[in-house]
Amino acid sequence: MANPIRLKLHQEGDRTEIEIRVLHPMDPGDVSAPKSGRPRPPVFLQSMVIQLNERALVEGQLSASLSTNPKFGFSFSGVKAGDKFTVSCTDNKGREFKSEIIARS
Amino acid sequence: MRARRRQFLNLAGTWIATGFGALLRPISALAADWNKSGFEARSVADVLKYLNAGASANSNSILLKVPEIADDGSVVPVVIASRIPNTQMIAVVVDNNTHPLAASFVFSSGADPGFSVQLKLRRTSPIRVVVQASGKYFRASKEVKVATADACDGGK
Repeated sequence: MANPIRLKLHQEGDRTEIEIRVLHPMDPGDVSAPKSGRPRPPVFLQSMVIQLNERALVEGQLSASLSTNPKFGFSFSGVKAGDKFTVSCTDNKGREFKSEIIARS
Repeated sequence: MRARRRQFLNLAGTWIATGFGALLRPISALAADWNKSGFEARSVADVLKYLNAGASANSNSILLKVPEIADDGSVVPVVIASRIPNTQMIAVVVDNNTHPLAASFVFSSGADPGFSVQLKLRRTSPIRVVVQASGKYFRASKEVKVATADACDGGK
C-alpha cells in the first residue's frame, strides 16, 4: 500500500513550513444506523507526532471532526539543510503510519 | 564554584533525560494519552472541563482565520496561531458538532505555536480556540456559516 502520509516542505525566509496530507477516511461512524440497521464503527486518526531529527516538536490529538484525507500545516524555525522531519500517526484501530522528508535548504 | 557547576550539570542531565524520554516514547504510548473524555464529550462546557480550561480569558493575541461562509461543511479550512508567550497547547473546538473537541496540539520550542487544519462542521457554528500558556488559558472564537445542512458527522 502506498504511504498514506504525504509531506511537502516550503521555505519562507527563516521559517520552514511542512504540509501534511494524510489519506484516511476520518469516518465518525454511524452508531445509531437508523436506515440500514447496521451500525458502522468510527475509524479516524487519533494522534500525530512531528519530529525534527528524532526530537518531538509537535504532538497532536485528533478526532473524526477533521475532514476526510485531512491536510495540516505547521511551521518551524531554525531548520537546516539535511534536517529530517518524521511524521507519525496512529488511528483508533491501532494502525501506525509514518513518513519522512529531508530539508533541502 | 565546583558545587555550582555540578548543579548545572545535574540540570542539564535532567533536561537531556527528558529529551530522550520524548524521543524513546513510542507513538503507541502517545495514543494512550488520547483525551477520550474530552473527545467524547457532547457539550462545550464538558470539553473545557476535560481540557482543564474552565477559566479562560479572551485574547486578541490568538489569530483565527476561518471562512465567513463555508459552501461545504465537510472541508472547512482554518488557520490558527498564538502570539501568547510560552504557548504550550492549542485546542480547536466546533461548538455545534456532536462531539465539539476536534483536535489539540502541544508545541515544543522550535515549532511555531499554530497550525492549519481542515474541519468538519455539521452546521453553522462558532469555532473556538483554547490556548494554554504558562499554566493559564486563553480563548478566541469566530462563527462559520455552513451553506449545506447536515452534510457530515454521520447524521448523528
